[in-house]
This record gives sequence, C-alpha cells and structure tokens, in this order.
Amino acid sequence: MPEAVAGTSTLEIRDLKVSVEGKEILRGVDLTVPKGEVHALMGPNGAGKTSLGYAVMGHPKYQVVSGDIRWAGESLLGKLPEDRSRMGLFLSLQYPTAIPGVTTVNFLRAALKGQGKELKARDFLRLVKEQVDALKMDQSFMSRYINDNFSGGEKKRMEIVQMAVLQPEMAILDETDSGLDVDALRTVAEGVNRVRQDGMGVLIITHYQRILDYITPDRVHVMAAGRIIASGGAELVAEIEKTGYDPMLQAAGIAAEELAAAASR
Amino acid sequence: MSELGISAPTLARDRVSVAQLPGGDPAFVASLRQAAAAAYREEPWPSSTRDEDWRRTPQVDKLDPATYSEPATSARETPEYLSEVVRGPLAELDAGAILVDDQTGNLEGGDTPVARTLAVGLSQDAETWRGLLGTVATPGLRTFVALNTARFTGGACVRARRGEQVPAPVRLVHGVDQGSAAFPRTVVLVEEGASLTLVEEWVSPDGEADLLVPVVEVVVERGAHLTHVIYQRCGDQTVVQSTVRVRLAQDARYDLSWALLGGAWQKTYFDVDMLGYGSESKAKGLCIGGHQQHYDVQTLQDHIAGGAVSDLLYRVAVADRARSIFAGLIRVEEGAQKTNAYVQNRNLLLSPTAKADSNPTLEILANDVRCTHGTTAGRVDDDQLFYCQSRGISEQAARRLVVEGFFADVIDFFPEGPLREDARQGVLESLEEMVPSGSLTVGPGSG
Repeated sequence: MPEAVAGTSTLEIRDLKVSVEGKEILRGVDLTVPKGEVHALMGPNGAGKTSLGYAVMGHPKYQVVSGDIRWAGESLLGKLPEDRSRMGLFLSLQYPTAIPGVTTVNFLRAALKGQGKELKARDFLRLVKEQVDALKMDQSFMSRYINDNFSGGEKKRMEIVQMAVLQPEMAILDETDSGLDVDALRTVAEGVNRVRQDGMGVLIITHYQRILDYITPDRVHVMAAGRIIASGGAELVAEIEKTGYDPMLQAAGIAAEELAAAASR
Repeated sequence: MSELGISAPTLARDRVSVAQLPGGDPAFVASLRQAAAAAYREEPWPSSTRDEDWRRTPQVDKLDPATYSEPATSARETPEYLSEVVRGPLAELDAGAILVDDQTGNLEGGDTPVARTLAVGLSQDAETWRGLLGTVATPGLRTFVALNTARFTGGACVRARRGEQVPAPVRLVHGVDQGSAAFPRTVVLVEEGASLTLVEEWVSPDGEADLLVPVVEVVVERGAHLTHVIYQRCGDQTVVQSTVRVRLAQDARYDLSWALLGGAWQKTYFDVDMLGYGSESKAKGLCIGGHQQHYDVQTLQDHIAGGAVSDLLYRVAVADRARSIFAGLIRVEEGAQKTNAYVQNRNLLLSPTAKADSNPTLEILANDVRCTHGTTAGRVDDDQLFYCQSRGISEQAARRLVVEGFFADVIDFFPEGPLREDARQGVLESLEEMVPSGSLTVGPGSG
C-alpha cells in the first residue's frame, strides 16, 4: 500500500468516459479532489453522479472507455475494488447492500482484515462500539446481519460507521443524506466533520443543499448529462437553491431533450 | 463395486436372507424381519421411469446391493476412520453415551440407562420396543426400509423415561467401510414430559464403494422434547439410502438440524407425522455438494392432528457438476384444522454446471389452515460481492463470506456449543475444498 503524505494525495479524474452495457453514461468528466478538502457534487437526476462514484470504486459494470482516474499519482484503471479500498478510497452507497447471514461485526472484521488492519479483538470491538455510539445507533446493530432489514436511515448511518472504522483517506458519499430525518442528518454530518478534521478528503454527492447546511464544502461542482458543467465555491449552493440548474444548463448548451434522455437512462 | 470381489448374495432381491442380532433375535424381531424380507423380495425395485420419488435419481436403476461385499460376521476392533470421527471435533461434546457401529454390528459403547446397543435394548427391553420398532417405519414402507429391517445388526435403542430431562447428549456414530453395506437401525423413545438431545453421524472413508442404509424411528410422547442432530460425512464413493421417520404426540416438540457434507449419491427421507394436537416440529438442514455429488432429499410434514406447527428449511449450495433434488410435501389430513406449516428450500448455485431441482408441494384436505412454501435458486449476488470488495475484502473472501452467510440461519439452529461449531467448521471446510476446483471463482451471475 503506498503511504500517502497528508495534503499531497489527490483524486484526479481526467476526461473520463464511462459506459454501462454499451451506453455512454459519463462523457468526459474532469474533477480534482485533494485530500483534506470537502467537495460537493450536485446536479439533476440522471446526471451521472452515482456512476462516477461506482467508476472511481471500480464496479465491474462501469466500463472506462477513455480518460483516467488517478489517486495519489497512481492510475486506478484495471485495479480491483478491494485494491482501491486498500489504497484508501471509500464509497458510501446510495442503496447499501444487505448480506443476510453476515453480522455487521463479522463484516467489519473481514473488511479490516482485507485491508491488512487486523486489530486485537478487544481493540476492534471498542473501536466499533465507539463509532456505533457516535452515530447514535443501538449496539444491537453489531450482531444484526449487515443492512438486512435496516431502515433507509439505518443503512446510511451504518455506512458512516464503516467509514469511521476503516479510516479511508478519501470518501465518496453518494446521497448519504437522502432518507434521513433532521436529527439523523445532523448526526451523519457530525460524523463526516469528525473525519474531515483528520484530514480526509470527501466528495459529497447530493441532490439537496440540506446536508451542506451542516458541512461547508470547499468546492461545489455541478454535473449534468455526464459531465461537470460548473464549479465554484460554497456560494454556488445558494445560487442553485435560488435559480435551480437551468441557467447553468443553458450556459453549458445542454438542451432539455438531452437532459431528459440522460435522466431516462 | 466390491473391492474383494466377493458379492453379497444375502442382499440380492431374489435370495435375500434375514440377519440376526448378535446373541440372537427376540421373537418379535424375527417375525418383523420375515415380513421385511418378503416385502423386499416382492415389491418392485425403485425405478426412475415409473416412480415419481425417483424420477431425478436414475442411479437407483443400476444400484444392486448384492454387488457390495459380504459384511464380516465376527466383531472387530474399531477401524481407524471411525476412531478418528469419535476423537474428532465432537469429542468436546460432553456426551452421556457414545455408541459406535459398523457393518459388523455394534463396536463400542452403549448400555447406559438411556442408550443401549440395538441387540441389548431389543432383547432386554422387548416390551418397550415391540410397539415401536417397525411401526413408525413399517417394513413395506420403502425398499430400503425393508432391506434395513431384514439386515440390521448394529444401531441403538435410545430412551428417555417419563419426565426425565437427560442432561448429556447421546452420540451415535454409524459407519461402513471395506466396500460393504451397513444397515444401522436407531429406535428412539422420548417418554411423556422427557427431553433428550440425540446426535447421529453417518460416516465412511473416501475412495471405496460402500452402501449405507440407516433407518431411524422416533416417537416423542406427549409434552416431550427431542433435539436431533444428523451429520453425514461420507466418503466420495459412498451411496446413502436413509430414512428418518418421526411421530409426535400431543404437545410434543421435535427440533432437527442436519448437515449433508459428503457422499457419492443418495436419497434421504425425513418424515414427520404430526399425530398430536399442539405438536411442533422445526427442521433446518444444509447440504454442500461439489464434484459429481448427487443429493436427493425428500421430506414429509404430515399433519394428521390439528393445531400443530411444522416448519422446514433446507439450504443447499452446489458447485462443479453437483446436483441437488428436493421434494417437500406438506400434507394436511381431513380435520387437521388450525394447522400451521411451512416448507422452504433455498439453493445457491456456485457454478454454471451445478443444478438444483426443487419441488415443494401442498396437499390440503382441511379448510382452516396456514400453509406456505417457498423455493429459490440463485447465484452469488454481484452487488453483494462488490459491496464487500469496496470495503477491502478480496473477491474470494467475499464469496466465502456471502456463502457462509447463506447458511447462517441453519448453522445457528444447531445446538449451541461443539455441535454448532462443528456444523460451521464443516461448512467452511466443504467450501474450502471447492476453491481449488475453481468452483468459487465462476464468472458473474445474478440472483
């Protein structure tokens, strides 16, 4: 595992084109997220935000057609998802997968083992317990089958528990805020702010500015029809809130039909 | 099939002769055997073309018990493969009685007040067993029950007396080796209000063609409780023809966990007769097959009395060219109102050439019942794999985790302690064995 130096590890996405089952979903994405910064990725439905997360993490269905994804100077193309995880990347899924029969605690133990971070049983249990507490979840979740019959909000919190336990250097949070009530949203945001203090990089994919009331992003990017159409500082969030995406779409020359076609994919 | 080239004419259908218990048969056993031999001679051999039960197991058409070598008539020392099993993981089980038998009859153990060798139990306690042996599994029920009845020499009589809470489990190890055939018989009586845990292991060594034909007859009386655990760890060329038949009285409880982890091909029957109002049967079984293994399991939940609950879950993972066949029948007899019955079979296909056939059926003659069945067959889910991998778990470890998780509810139904750990270990080792053959690294597939 390459040892990343704080402040120098950067996620760099260059002219990335990705297709799923032959359909082009990402059409030349350029995005740079340095470690230690929090970026927000916004945009209408079907813009390709979730696909970008999957492509970065190496989901086999998302085929990179051209361009590059680099992390800490190294290209990720051709690397397995487990290798990307071991290199310090993390993806919090929009719809976390249930694995019946595998308890949360066993899943986390396997994950840490896979990352070569095996802890003593007592230290491991203390670490997990702390994080479960921090996310205001009941300890009984540790012995439940992971994500199995969890509510939407419980799944999202469990993703943040995992992030805190695995301590990645760069996390992509795919709509971690959706389906959370205000209290849960605040709890999750606090969780993100804690890891942010440790110097982690975060890319928050979201539809809403809600979560950005609690986590102030360093940069905001807007994605539509498979590419980044606008980037700016935190003030962009307020602008989107006021005018919607339409002015940006027009400026980028994206016609309504193209957007509709992208959304229907 | 015989290694020694000696055939066993005593097992040929036209010439079958009855065996005798060591020390001789009590009269009721002798007459039962005559009836069984007659049934074996007269009933037609099972046929994959004529018998629905055998439709998917054509191996039976060519099976001829007479080709297995004649079992030795004199007792012998416990062979090494059986000693190894006895000393194995379940040695940690604090068993109150351990009995070991093979094709020659009983080898060691037994003769505690709870568990006796078949010969001792049937002769010394004839009054008790006369009413049970051959009545739960009648000789004419099926070909291999008839053959077992005509030929059993080894096995056990297990009895928990009225109100007795037997603290330590009874452990029975039934083996067969040397290219021969064995017919262990177990009779179990859990008297009114009593409780007992019974563990049975069906074993044989690898690399030799053996035939194991166990028959287990169980009666659980009113308000009594039996916890029954069955492990099959047979060699790669062993044919198993087994029958477990259980009869439950009013408010009786029966918990069965089984693990089928080895053998060439087999047919196994698990039958429960819900004879008493309020009786309850829970059965959870698992099977892992690789190579060319062929597991045919047929279950019956027969609700004769009303107000009873039966629940059966069978989980199977097959790899390579292995095949699983399951037929599960819930029968609700006329008048068995307020029946609550469930049968489900879940199959995991670990290679494109593995196959699972599943056929749960309901036959309901009462109108106020709740009966359901469920069946699934699928592959390891890609999304589950990606989820594990994205957290740093290698693909191979992820597959193992998901497959182990698939069996978790069955494993957790085994009694806590060495029995459950042994089931878990058995699953892990069976999965491990499949890794070199590439079975766990098939391409993508979806559930």
